[in-house]
Amino acid sequence: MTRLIIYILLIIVTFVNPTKAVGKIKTTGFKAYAAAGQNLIFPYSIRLGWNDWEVGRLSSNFIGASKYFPFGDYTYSSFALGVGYKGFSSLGIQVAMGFNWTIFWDLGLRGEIIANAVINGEFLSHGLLGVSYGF
Amino acid sequence: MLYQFIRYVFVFVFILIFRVESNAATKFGTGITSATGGRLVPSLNLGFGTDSFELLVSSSGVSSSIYSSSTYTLGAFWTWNAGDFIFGKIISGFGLEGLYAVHSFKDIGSAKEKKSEFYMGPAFFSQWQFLGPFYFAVEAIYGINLNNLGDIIALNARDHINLIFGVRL
Repeated sequence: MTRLIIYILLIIVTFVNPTKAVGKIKTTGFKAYAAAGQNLIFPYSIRLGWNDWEVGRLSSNFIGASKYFPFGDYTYSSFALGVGYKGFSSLGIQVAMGFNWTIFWDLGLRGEIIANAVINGEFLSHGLLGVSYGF
Repeated sequence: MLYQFIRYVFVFVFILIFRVESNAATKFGTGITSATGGRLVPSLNLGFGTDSFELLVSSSGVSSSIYSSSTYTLGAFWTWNAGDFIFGKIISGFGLEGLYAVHSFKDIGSAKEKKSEFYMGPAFFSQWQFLGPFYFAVEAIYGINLNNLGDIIALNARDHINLIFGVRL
């Protein structure tokens, strides 16, 4: 399964042309995101969203709700509150910056660099690369 | 190498300051960092800048009779008001940041051994001003090792994260 996802991502990366991306980042409607993370392990993040909010497994050790803020046609930052569940579960914050290129049928290539910090002293940061819908 | 990094950062800062027309701001905060992850060791965080640019520094460390560790960061960021978030607003920043750390360890019957490391790379933060000038922020550095392409392809970086509670004056 992981190999299949990697092949799909490689095909998308090979053929995507950001200058021909058909959609800018949207802040309305339903959206979904599934991404690979550190060492290309999949799934590292799975999210469902509505308008400019997303909920789900935001990274491998963090569940929460995230709001994203576009600052360009294809780039955004996000801020999330949630629970880190590596070791002892504890409240925490996750921030991210990323890009999204919608390619066809509302499907896009979306990547993020994330960093989360949990009050109990757990930290995690890495990149995410995956497929978005409706973003 | 550290001297060169500091020189580049200062040049970068002055170039940005001369093109910015905005209100000056100072940030003061404390928090925890991944440099001492697993232990709640307080860090000191300071920020200076304007509405569109900030210079951030931080320091954290621990010391005991057998070991010590000190970590310092210095970064320059373009900043912008990202939007509203639960009773407050989000300010985001993206820029370049470096980290310098010194670690020492003393084994039984041996002299103290000391090692240092330095890396730099892209960095960003998001700051949630939830109540007036008070904020929570998470700041991260992605230290890039250009000698190891495998790490970059595998979405790995030499990272450092700060969780900060502070006040913007």
